[in-house]
Amino acid sequence: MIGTRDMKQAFLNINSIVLVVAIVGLVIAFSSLSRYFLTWTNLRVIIETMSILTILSLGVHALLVAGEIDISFTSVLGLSAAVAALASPANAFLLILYALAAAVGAGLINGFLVVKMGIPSFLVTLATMTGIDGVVLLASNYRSVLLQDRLLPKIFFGRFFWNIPMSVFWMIGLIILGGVILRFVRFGRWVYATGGSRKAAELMGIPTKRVRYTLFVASSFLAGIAGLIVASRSLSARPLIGEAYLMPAIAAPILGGALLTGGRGSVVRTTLGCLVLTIITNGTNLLGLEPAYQNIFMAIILIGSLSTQGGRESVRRLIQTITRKQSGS
Amino acid sequence: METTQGRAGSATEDRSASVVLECRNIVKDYGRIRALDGVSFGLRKGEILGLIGDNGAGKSTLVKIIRGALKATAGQLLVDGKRARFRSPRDAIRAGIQCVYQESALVEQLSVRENFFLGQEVLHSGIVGALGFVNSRRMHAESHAYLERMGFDLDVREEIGSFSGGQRQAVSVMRALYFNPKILLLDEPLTALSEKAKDRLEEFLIEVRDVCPMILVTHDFKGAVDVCDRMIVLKHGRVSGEINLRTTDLSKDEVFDYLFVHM
Repeated sequence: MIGTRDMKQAFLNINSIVLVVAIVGLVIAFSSLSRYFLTWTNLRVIIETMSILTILSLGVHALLVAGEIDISFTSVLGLSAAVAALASPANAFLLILYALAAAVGAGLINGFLVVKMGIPSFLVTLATMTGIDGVVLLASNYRSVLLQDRLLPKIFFGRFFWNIPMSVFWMIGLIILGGVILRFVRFGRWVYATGGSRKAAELMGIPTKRVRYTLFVASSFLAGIAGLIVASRSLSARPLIGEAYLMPAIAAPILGGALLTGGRGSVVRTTLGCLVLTIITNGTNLLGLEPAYQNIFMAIILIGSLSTQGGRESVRRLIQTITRKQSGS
Repeated sequence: METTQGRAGSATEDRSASVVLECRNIVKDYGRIRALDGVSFGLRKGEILGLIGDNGAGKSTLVKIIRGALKATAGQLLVDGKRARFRSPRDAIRAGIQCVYQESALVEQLSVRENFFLGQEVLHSGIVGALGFVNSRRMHAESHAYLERMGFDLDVREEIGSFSGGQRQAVSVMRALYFNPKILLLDEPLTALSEKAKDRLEEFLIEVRDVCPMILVTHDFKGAVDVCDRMIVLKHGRVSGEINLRTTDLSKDEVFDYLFVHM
């Protein structure tokens, strides 16, 4: 029975356990400290806030699995929002097209520099992040630009069902799409293989360059969608608006067990990681703590997560060995 | 090039055997350095051909050309008598050339079954398959059944990283054989193995040579003599010697001497 065994292994994954325990612990802690925490309004705020972070994290996660990193998504988010706002008023679908084309363009540049030129992805995306920020600042004249369209905000942040914004449904759709591609589609296997051992993948005929190129474009595309959501939410595009997402969007997949060396990661656990980080931000807001504390918590979580990766790997292997012995193989 | 043949006149017999892979005057230049200088040889059905040579002899370059990772500067590669032009390792795999490497070409984080079909995943039929959906159930069943049939009882759901070097290399060889290759290219497959694992794998290769002809690339010529039917020696990018081990009159020590002198 493949399914049962796989489900059991997924459930027993140490990273999943840590995340679920963290979520339960945080919910208990914040609900006992603030009576507003477990209200429908606040839960809706959590899921709304989480949607943008999760969409960004999906791209970061896929690249981490493939052994690469993209930190330019914050700027691409700002670029997409700025393009849509600057091009408005115009047909909403044209605005979306322009914004996403700009995002994809950034992804193509990242992909070209990393894959074709062989420059490390961290340095490339650091440079493109800075460059794109500069372009956005100049184009918007250092000011917020109003989004002059009625349809676009409805597509990305309209509240049609239970007062939940469309961004949440975009997030759910993209989680399913990303999860299915990485787990059930051949391309997904190639992503894990590329990150696990690029050399082995190449020897077996996997087009690792194409895989990495595609992921840089996909990551920027997701940042482009996030940018449209942000612009739709605030009905404007503010330069450098994406900066706040840099740390949590990278921390979430790592919290979910993605390795910086590649080959490991899970869309579900990345989503749980986003939930943990959003709960922390939301809870500390409710308690009236200064935003500086959120930064400190975020840094502690990221460092804690990175420093315990080795230990979590060992525990994961131990659990695997025990389940193998139990099943008699 | 010097060759040695047996008294039985098996040269005629061997030539009549059909050649599966032929390298004709393969030349490879890296800038001004000539790594291969007119290498020619053929691999016949039912044989294990040893390709030996010291470091820098051109073995790796030749292997890369055969498996489609490098383009030859000049010369031809023929598979079943037809000219083959490989632009990537994928083309070589499609032409029926499977490879086993020293480092196994396995991804530690993936399961045995995922590694078994790495780069050659089984897709669903119909539109689902056209969308790239892999048939995990079939991959599981087929890899498990094949390994079991070949005498390797492994849990194919486990990560390959949790198995020993010998087991991993076994998976690597089984994986290559599973796809019914025309030619199996073994690039230093025994180097990282323990003596026990090496013996077992050598026995296995001898058993399956009739099913699939092989080129065994190695610098360990003493070990290769027990496995190969024929050996060619590469030196400074050229074939410097050839010996048919099935028919030679030379003693084992004389064969070693012959190979050593020509390396």
